[in-house]
Amino acid sequence: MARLPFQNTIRRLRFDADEMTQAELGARVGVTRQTIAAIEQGKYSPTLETAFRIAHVFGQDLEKVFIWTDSSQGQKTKPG
Amino acid sequence: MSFREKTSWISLVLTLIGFGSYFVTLVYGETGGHAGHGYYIGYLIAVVVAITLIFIVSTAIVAAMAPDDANAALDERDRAISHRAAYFSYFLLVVGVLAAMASYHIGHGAFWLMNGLLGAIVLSEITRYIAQIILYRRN
Repeated sequence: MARLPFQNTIRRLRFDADEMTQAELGARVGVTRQTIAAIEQGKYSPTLETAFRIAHVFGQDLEKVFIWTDSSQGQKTKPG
Repeated sequence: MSFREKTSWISLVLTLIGFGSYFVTLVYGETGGHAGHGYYIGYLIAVVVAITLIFIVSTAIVAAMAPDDANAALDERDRAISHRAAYFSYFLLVVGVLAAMASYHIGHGAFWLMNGLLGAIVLSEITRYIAQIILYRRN
């Protein structure tokens, strides 16, 4: 299985949010507990909408929840 | 293991056993000349009824053990897995249907055409269940 080019901080954010369970987070963003587990483990790449919903639950920006780690593709550029 | 994965396992096992027994009986009987075509049609109907009933009972038992999982609607990951599994099985279905049609054209009768088409459907369904199980494990 190809490794996803990004990591996520969902597990830590859940812990910081009164140890929210995967099932609770799943219910709030409209996916199953298994899907949250797969996202956390980096096995499944969520849709953009679900990624935004997850970030919204924790009151975070998307890039605080999903962090691009693949240095081989796309240099980050400063906005002009 | 999710409810969807469990039902994929149930479907896979039932299909393998049910239709496996049908095709083994068919090939063995036809090569030995043991029974007429009516016997196999009856056998096939019995297999379909048995698979349906056992699937309903098995799924109800699995759902009773984890009602929240069973009642959950399909989410985006379930749908993605379902679409990818169907993509893999579609190829086998097309090849099987073409093979069944070719066998009819080279002289095999309608009975074998029917069984060839049935075999194509069964093989593609088995492929779909296996693909679903693998995708649920990996994704």
